[in-house]
Amino acid sequence: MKAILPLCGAFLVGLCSFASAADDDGLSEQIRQLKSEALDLNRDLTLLEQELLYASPQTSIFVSVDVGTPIRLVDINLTIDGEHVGYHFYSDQEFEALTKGGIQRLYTGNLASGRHVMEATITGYDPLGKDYQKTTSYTFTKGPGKKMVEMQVVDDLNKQQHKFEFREWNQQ
Amino acid sequence: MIQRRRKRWLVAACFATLLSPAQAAKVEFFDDINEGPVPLGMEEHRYLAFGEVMFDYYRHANFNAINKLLVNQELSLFNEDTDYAELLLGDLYVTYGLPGKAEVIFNRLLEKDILSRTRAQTWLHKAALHYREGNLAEAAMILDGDNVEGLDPADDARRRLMLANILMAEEDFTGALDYLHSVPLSTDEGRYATYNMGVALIRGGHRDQGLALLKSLLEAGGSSDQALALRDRAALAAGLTALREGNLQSARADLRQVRSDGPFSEDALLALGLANYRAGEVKRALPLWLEAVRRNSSHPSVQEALMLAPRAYEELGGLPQALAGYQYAAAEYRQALKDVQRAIDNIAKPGWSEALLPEDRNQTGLLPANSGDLAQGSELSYLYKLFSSNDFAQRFEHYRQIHQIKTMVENWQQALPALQETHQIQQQRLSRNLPHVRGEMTRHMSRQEQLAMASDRVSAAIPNFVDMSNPADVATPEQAVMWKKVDALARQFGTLPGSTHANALRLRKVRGLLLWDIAHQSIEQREKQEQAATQLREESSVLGERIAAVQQQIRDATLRTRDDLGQRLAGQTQRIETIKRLTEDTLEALEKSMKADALALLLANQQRLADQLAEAHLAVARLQDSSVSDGSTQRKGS
Repeated sequence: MKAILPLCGAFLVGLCSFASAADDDGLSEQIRQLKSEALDLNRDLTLLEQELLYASPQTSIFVSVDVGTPIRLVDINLTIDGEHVGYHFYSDQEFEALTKGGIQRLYTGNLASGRHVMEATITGYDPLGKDYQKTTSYTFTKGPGKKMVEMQVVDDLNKQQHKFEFREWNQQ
Repeated sequence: MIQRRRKRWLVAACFATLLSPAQAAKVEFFDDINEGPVPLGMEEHRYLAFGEVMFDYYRHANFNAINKLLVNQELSLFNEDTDYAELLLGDLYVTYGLPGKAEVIFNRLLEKDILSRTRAQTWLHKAALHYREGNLAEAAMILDGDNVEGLDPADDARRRLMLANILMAEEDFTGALDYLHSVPLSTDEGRYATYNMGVALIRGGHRDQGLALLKSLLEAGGSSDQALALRDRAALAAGLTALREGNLQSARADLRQVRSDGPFSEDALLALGLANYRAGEVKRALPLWLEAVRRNSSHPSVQEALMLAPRAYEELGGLPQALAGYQYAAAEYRQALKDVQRAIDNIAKPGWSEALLPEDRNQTGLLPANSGDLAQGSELSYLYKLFSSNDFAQRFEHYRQIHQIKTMVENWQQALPALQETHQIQQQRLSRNLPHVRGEMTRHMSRQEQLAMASDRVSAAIPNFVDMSNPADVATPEQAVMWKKVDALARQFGTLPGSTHANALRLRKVRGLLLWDIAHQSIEQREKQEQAATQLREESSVLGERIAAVQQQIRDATLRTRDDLGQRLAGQTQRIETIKRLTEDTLEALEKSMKADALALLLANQQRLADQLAEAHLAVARLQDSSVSDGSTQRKGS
């Protein structure tokens, strides 16, 4: 009888650990299911929101920088037709994301059709750490389709500062 | 410069995560740089959308990156043919803890005819998935096979590191070393793998090889906090190994390399003191333990030093100092026990788990958020130990992610009524305004057409040469008025009073001068006219675009008044509620399990402290007894 007791104990311990593992598996599955459902919900609500807010083709302004630029972009200020529509201060992580090829959507909105003037002001540090500010303006015409403008903040290696280049797309 | 710009475009379009552990296919979208507005083609649209995903990916906003990929899938921008997006989504699913979904993607990619490099990367991702899930044999089979041939150097280093870790877990140290040698020590991954390998070798009985690896870390570069802490840890491990073997000289040399203000300084002080003590140099051990005693008493090494310092005094014959030391140790243990009890009480309070979350809830860091507040209760050091357990850290990571989901769901729950109201307002306003706008538009369209035709006619009417047969056409407005007057005078000259020969000559002279004047600036005037005509055509074209845009808006608005968006929005209420409930249940279950882990750890600490307190009391009693008996002996003697 005495010999059986340790075996019973071991069996109970095994049973308990099995139950605990099963609980853990159940919780893990619950977590996975929840994450999956949350992703689906977020996707569907994002689509519904876009459908509601941008029933008409919207205008989007994107920002990108030269890959591996030695110049640090600090912040950017955007106006369209004199109205302030966007500002962003770049954290180290965000700027690194841009230098690795990421593109940031700085503005999306319903602009009236016709001609618009956007003005962007950036603050940055040159490779020697000296700060500077630059402003540029760009005129575009909004038609019936989506309008997308990419503002590339590229290196001006002669001046060791940034300069701007623009690309513009119309969705028919 | 063009080359550089082109390179920027190409690289920007690539998902080239050379520096990141997670990598996917490199993609080239297009290499032409067009100027001016161009039609938005599918590839350009994908370029922008994927660029946005990369921005989120590289700033570690993984949830946003997944969401953008899924949204763009729904919009048919990304599909099963966009391998780069698929591979990234799979990788993000792995990171987000959805391995099942990731595996489906990887398997789907591997069934397809894809680029050999993308195929190799997909296999690498699949192996990483197995590795993460603990299926080491399957991971090793992939990593050691032909499927992963052709990886770029960064991916290949990652492959070797994984293989080294797998072989290490299987105690195949020779095999692991072969793979590890090719991983550079200059990377964090390489340094950690070397440390793990060194410790595993020592544990496996390969002392010399293990120590050599640990010592290689002492000379490795890296000035980050992480690198310096790992260097301390390697020195400590090497020192403890030597101490265990009785190689006291070597132990002391290694332990002295641990920084005195680093995270392992308390352990090093304790161990260095022990090395001196074992070498019979009690006097040299004492200051080290006294220094340790001055540190945070919740640290286990400090708690041990609390007893060792008075013992050293005792051996050196300083009985009053030893007695005071033991009494101090007892007081510290009592305080530490109180701290542990407070920590246990805190765990029982509601909101304990939430207090562990980082202040920026999106941060992936695992350290407690309100560490300042927690440190005041000396709870932090116990929590550090808790977080160093892999199981707890993983559970906490789930807790953090589910908390983010809860916040997101609550935000949507708040936003949904606003969205529904916006939809209602939109519909009401559009229903009210659309008939009027439609009517007005018909009128404006015909006006715009007339304007366009008129501007075309004006442009067409301007000859491409200067014709002086009609001077008014090339005259400035002032000249034109003057010409009209002079011409009228000339035509009616005979009928007017004062139509003398002299006046006729004067009029002729004036007419000639005016004609000369008009002719003189006619080219400039014609250019201005051409510019104005061009501008008119452009304005007319912009007006045409505006008409088209408004027509598009009318079509969209008409659809909006008839769509079922309101119903679809309302349908989300129940869904949000269900997920919110599930979120709360999951958080509760996770909190329960985290609390159980924390309690187990604290109870173990409590038990150890109670034992140490008892030991301190015994030592105090022993010394007091001996001093009393010494006193009575002395009294007897005297």
